[in-house]
Amino acid sequence: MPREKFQTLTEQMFYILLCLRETCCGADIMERVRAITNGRVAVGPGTLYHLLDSFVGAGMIEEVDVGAGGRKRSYRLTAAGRRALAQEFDRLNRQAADYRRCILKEGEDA
Amino acid sequence: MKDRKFRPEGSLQFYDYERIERHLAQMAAKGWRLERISGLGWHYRRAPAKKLTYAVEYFEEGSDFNAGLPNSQREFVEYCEAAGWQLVTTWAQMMIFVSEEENPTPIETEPATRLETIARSMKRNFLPGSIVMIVLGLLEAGLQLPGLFRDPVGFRSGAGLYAGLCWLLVAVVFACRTGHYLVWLRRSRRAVGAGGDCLPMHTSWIAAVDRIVLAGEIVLLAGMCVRLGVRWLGCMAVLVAGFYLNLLLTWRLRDFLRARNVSAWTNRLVTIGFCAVFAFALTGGIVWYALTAW
Repeated sequence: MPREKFQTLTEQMFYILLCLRETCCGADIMERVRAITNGRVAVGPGTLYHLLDSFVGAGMIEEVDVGAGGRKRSYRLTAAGRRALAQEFDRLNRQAADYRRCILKEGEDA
Repeated sequence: MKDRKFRPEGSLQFYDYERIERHLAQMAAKGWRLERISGLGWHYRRAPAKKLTYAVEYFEEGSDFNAGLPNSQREFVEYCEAAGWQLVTTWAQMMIFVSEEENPTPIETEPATRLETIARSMKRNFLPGSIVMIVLGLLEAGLQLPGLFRDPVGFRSGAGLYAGLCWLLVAVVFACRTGHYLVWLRRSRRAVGAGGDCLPMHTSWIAAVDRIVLAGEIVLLAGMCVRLGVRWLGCMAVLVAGFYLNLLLTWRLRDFLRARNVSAWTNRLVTIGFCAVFAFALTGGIVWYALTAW
């Protein structure tokens, strides 16, 4: 089920996983996504919390550190998470290539 | 001038987050900020009128029986605080946040995640509670049916007709709420699956049904008292007063145990047990009085 759920990644899922190529505390991810995308993409705290939980459940990320009182958890990407990120990158590239081919064809036809 | 206000807010449905957010923002603009929600209603305090943004979230592990927020919920609150949202209060699975920023980043930025969070949270409390009330309403109404077949004339002039209709109306109210929520959930899943957003809820008609049913219940109870005599009026008054006393004592007991850090399960067990014993004693006492005194 989780594999099917994350077969394609939304923009927010993509950037959350991208941030977690380095170990990162959950609450810091929002700022990192904003920085990577120059403020274009904002991940809401509720969405972030629930997606991190789902990613852990799907084995795409893992908890690496739990702070005092069981809070302030940090996460990092697993091999499965890296594969999902790479697959999404390929999918986006194929999409971009299709776009270029179609637009170029239109230009040639005109 | 009063600096506290209490409103039952019966027209706000637990799952209609958009309407609650709009309502709280309007109250803040009029100078009333939400302080807490109790079983009786919503408590506001006076504050300078201000444009505030409210967000209603649902958290599966949230419960009024928890002694403080569980770690997972505390972590959720910390994420929200990092994004500029302050927790106002919690009520069962519901959490209410406020932000003073002009355009804060919404707490939920993906409709699919929001929808599934709502669905999981409603399964914990709202849906089981509503289903219990529908079954109880239909069961109580159904229990009156043998009397109708056995003695149709006596049934029409006795308490069975009124009691049956009252319970049927209870079932109707909860069936409307549950049905409306489930239809909204199904349609929203379809819309979100097609790349759209969660659909608006339009719950104002549910509030209208609530009001009509309440009026119907009052008319039925009044009709029963008129037909059956003043003794019944006394019994009904004791029953209604006892019902509210039971609710008040139950909530007090729950809050007392919560303040003493009693585990959620023990609190739930003791509180529900107390409520059931009180209700049984109340109805049993009234039936015993009716059978022996009349």
